[in-house]
Amino acid sequence: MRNQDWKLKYQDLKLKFHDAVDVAFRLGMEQGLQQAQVQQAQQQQADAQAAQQAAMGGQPGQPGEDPNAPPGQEQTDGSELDQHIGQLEGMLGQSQPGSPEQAGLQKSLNGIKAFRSTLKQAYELKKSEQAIKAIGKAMKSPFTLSKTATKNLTEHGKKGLSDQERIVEELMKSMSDEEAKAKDSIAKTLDYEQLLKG
Amino acid sequence: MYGISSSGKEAIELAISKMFDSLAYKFLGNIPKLREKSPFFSSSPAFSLAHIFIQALNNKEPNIFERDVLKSILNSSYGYIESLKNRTSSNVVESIDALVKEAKLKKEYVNSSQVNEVIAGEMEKARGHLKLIAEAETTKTRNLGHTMYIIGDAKDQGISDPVCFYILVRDGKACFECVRLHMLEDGVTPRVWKLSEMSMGWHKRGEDRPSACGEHPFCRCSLSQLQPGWGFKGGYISFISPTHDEYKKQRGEDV
Repeated sequence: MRNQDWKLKYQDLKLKFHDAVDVAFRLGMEQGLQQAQVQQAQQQQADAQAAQQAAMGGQPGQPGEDPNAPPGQEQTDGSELDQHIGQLEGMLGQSQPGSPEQAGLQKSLNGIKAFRSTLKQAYELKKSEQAIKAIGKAMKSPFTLSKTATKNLTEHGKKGLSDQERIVEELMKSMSDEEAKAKDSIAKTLDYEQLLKG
Repeated sequence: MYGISSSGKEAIELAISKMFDSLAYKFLGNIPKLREKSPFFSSSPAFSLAHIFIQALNNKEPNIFERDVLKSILNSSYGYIESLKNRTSSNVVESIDALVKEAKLKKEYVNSSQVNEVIAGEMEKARGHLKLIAEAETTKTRNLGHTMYIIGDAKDQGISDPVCFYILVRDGKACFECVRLHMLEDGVTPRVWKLSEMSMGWHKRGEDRPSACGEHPFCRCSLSQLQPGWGFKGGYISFISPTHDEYKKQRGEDV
């Protein structure tokens, strides 16, 4: 026990603690992204309430309003990352203007804000992709065999079903091509009869 | 009032006719009735109604009876397409003629966009009907092919009236009529029928027996034979015992 290096042990524990905080933060972020849709709705509601309070002449110190907030502070959206950004902004407000500490903090803050923006963009993109997929699915559901049909149907039965889908699809595709040809031919006839304008 | 000339109308009818003949050929495959009409139909399409029938027969060479069944299927399908062709052709000619007459009364000319709009409207209607014909005829052909296959197979086994059942292909998407006719009350076990009990014509909603042609145009349920000794476990076909008779079991006759 006496030979134990307490400083090393402290540093080791500190490192583990930071790792745990980091992992927890990341997990929280992922969860937060998954629930962002719900949060967005809640956020809109909260924003509406805040706007209503502001319109009614809310008192300083009320929730959602920081009297010490520096000008140009962005509105938070309630996520964990935003809370941290808010904390950093608070610290930045308290630090001396022009000091190297403030410059460092400002740089970190900008980096985090950029990171948040990238995350938001990626999330929005993912949401749009999901929406497009859902629209595509709703437009034409792919032909799939049920579990029992897969087992009960013979191979030639399965082949017959997929061929049926293919034949109908190809016929309808051909109709579009043939329709264009017929239109062209009719236009020529009307033109020959001098019934068409131009 | 003078609209399009009779030769002009004939030319329009010919354009529509060519369109439908080409579609019919692509859909039905090599049938003499169409081949004689145009020298352009020189090769058989890869996928056609005839292809579905052969596929349903397990890709075997059709015998004389099966050939005859296929011929009658193709002829009746062509009949439906021909009637659609005649109707569409008359509709297009009449609509364009009316457009021309109206323009002439106003001392104007029709423009191509007006004509295209009229044709597109008629073609949209024709497209819906053609899809319905294609769906109904492919379903009928597939199921009749299966029926012919079942009859041949049963004959080889010495079974005069084979026990059949329909396989619901789209669980959860099957219509009420298909579920009612093809499944038992438990909603899992397929209902079995003797082939002689089945109707051989188009099914009418509410009838108490299924049709060998399928129940409706977009039906994907497939006819299959249940071999003696086989039954169902949780909806899956499985061997029960050599003496098991699923038909008698379902009808309460196996006491």
